[in-house]
Amino acid sequence: MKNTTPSRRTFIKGASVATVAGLAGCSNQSGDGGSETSSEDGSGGTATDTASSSSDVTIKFWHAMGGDIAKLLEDMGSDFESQADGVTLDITSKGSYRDTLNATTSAVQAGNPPAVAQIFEIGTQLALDSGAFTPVEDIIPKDKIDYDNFLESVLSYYRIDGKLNSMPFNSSNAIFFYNKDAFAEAGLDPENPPETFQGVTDAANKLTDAGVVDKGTTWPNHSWLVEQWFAEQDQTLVNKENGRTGRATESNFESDAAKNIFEWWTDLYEQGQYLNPGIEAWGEAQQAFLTQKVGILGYSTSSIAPMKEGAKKNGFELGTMRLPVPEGQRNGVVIGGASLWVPSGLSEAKQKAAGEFLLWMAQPEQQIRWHKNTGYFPVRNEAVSQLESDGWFDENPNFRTAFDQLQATEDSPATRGALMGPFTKARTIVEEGYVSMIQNSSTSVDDGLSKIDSQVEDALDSYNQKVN
Amino acid sequence: MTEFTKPFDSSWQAYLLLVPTFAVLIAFLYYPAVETFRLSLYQTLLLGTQKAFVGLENFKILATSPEYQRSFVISFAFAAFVVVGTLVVSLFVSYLLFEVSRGTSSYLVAAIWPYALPTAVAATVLMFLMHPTLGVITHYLEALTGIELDWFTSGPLAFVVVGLVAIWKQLGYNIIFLVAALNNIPETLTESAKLDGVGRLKMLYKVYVPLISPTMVFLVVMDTIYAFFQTFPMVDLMTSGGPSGATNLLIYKLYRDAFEFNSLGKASAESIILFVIVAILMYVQLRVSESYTHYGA
Repeated sequence: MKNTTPSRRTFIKGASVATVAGLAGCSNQSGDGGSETSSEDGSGGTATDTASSSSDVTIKFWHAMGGDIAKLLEDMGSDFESQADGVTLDITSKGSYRDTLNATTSAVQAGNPPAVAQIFEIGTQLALDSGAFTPVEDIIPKDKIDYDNFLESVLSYYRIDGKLNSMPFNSSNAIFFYNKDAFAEAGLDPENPPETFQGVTDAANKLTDAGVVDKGTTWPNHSWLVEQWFAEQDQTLVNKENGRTGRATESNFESDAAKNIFEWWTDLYEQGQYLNPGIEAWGEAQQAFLTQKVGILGYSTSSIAPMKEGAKKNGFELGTMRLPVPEGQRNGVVIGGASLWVPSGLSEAKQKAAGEFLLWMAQPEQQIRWHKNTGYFPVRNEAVSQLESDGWFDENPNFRTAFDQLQATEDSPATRGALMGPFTKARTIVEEGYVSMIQNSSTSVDDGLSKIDSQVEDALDSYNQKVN
Repeated sequence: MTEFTKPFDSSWQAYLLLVPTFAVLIAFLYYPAVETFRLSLYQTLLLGTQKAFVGLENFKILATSPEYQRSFVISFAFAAFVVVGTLVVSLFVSYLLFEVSRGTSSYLVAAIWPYALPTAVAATVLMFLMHPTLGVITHYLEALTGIELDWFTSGPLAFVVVGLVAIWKQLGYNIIFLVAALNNIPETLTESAKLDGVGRLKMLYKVYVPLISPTMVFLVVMDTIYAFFQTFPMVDLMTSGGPSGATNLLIYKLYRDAFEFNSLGKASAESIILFVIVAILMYVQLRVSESYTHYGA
């Protein structure tokens, strides 16, 4: 035990924090988190000789990233710690977006929530309805942040009834990749990839005719891509301006836009030009593309960096193209990805630390680092102009494709993205609906769509009943 | 010697010794069971952050839901497929193992091996081996037969693939018991049957099967429980209940309703129903098989 007064004072401070945390841990039944925090707080109090002005605090950050991106987050976390005053970060991956949401809400109920949780965009309405979170706009001091610096399209997704509920973090949209070498071999222009549905079908046929690939295209059977194609055609997914002026009650799966998408997609399958990797099968789709079984891949901008790497390893050059659209106007894409939420019921110190962390993560430097290593968009305008003046987009034209697509997006209810409680259910309905269309030729696209439509509306109904 | 035969008569000590067992049972079995029943009467948002009492509404919704009815039928068909498949295959494999005289233990180890593999690992590995477009097994099967085996798109095919994996995984467990049972059959019986000129196959189903029937009844019960409750990881990892619900077993559906579609109340009701179904099945199986089973003398 040291005998200098400042360290003793810090020790007492630390110990009292530990006791409080320990008590909190006892009272909320889930002892493991509580005691964990208390011991860390205690040791923090004794070990640090430099008495900090704010009391030391450990906050938990739960995210859904894996692999290299999880490691990147941990690195960024330790950088945050080294510049923060007495804040320790405890970063845990909860596996998937769905698991992170479930884990966070049960932790809120048990009274021991993380300070920051990464929640996917379609969980937004559900997170709001759960009442388990505090809007970030209420946490971050007004004088420390200027929301005008954030990308308009990102803000308009996460701002509901004029309030920013969560801090935009990893934002992405859909993009198509293609194999430049295969294109050249098949006599297609590798610098002019197709732009339309028909163009993709034609290119696919040329690729297989030349025998360079087994099938023309693949992408995960994911409703997210369908949602993007809705937005491109300026078609909302659900009524009430995509659920933003009130609770959605009807869905638009019988619209012409939906027919365009599903007729093309089933037609591709019937021509043997769409490899069905399975529902939400990102990994399988990527593998089929990288092993050159297919020439065109529908994917997410979040994977530009790893995809480029993978293509290089497999000996071909990667090209990126904008999301193909049916003939006609290109209206824009919807922001996908996730944002950072702060649960309610945190101590004041923890809430403050969470706010600091969110602010730090949104800083241009962090955003640039995050973007360069993943492909997720920076959410701040300064970060974008910084990247531009550094010549990043000129050196990396693949990243430019994604960005152009985002910046060309017209702000409308369709591109702002849908808000609905049972979004996860709706996605599964859409994905299984597609399978039923290609499964037997007796199910026409129209039948399939009307089934999807009624099922989604049932899901909306029963959800709305629950919240009322 | 008397102290060894003296009966144990301290009841408080007996209760004391039972306390740990009951503590565990109450904490991890009875309390969650009661809680599940309570939750089944509520409608919930997320994992119960908001809830409202609705009485038997959840059960009513399930009874009238075509999706649930389909899942119900599929689960029974799947259980029948898995139980019959597992028993037939493991019976033949055990018979071969029983008959072989050289290197018995290495064959036994080879046959039981899949059982030692964690289900999730087995499902993931097999899924990649049998993947419709990337899988090695599918590739050669398709080359040999000339039929396209796209079980990501074809419902019946997916049902069979998941069923086969479930059977494969459960074989080891059955074989352990069957080989043990076969080894308990008196040598003299085999000898006299052989002298009477009984053929190999006839020997199996006329002589051995009746003799090991108690073991087989036990296995039918265990395999049924397995088919209803423990096939979750395979469905989750290989098909996610698809395509178009063709492998949406009750156990998977309830998980999805609870943790993906955020209806914990409804999922609790499903779990109560599943529990009742399996309890009834057990009872019927034991009753029916009692009349066929020879428990020997």
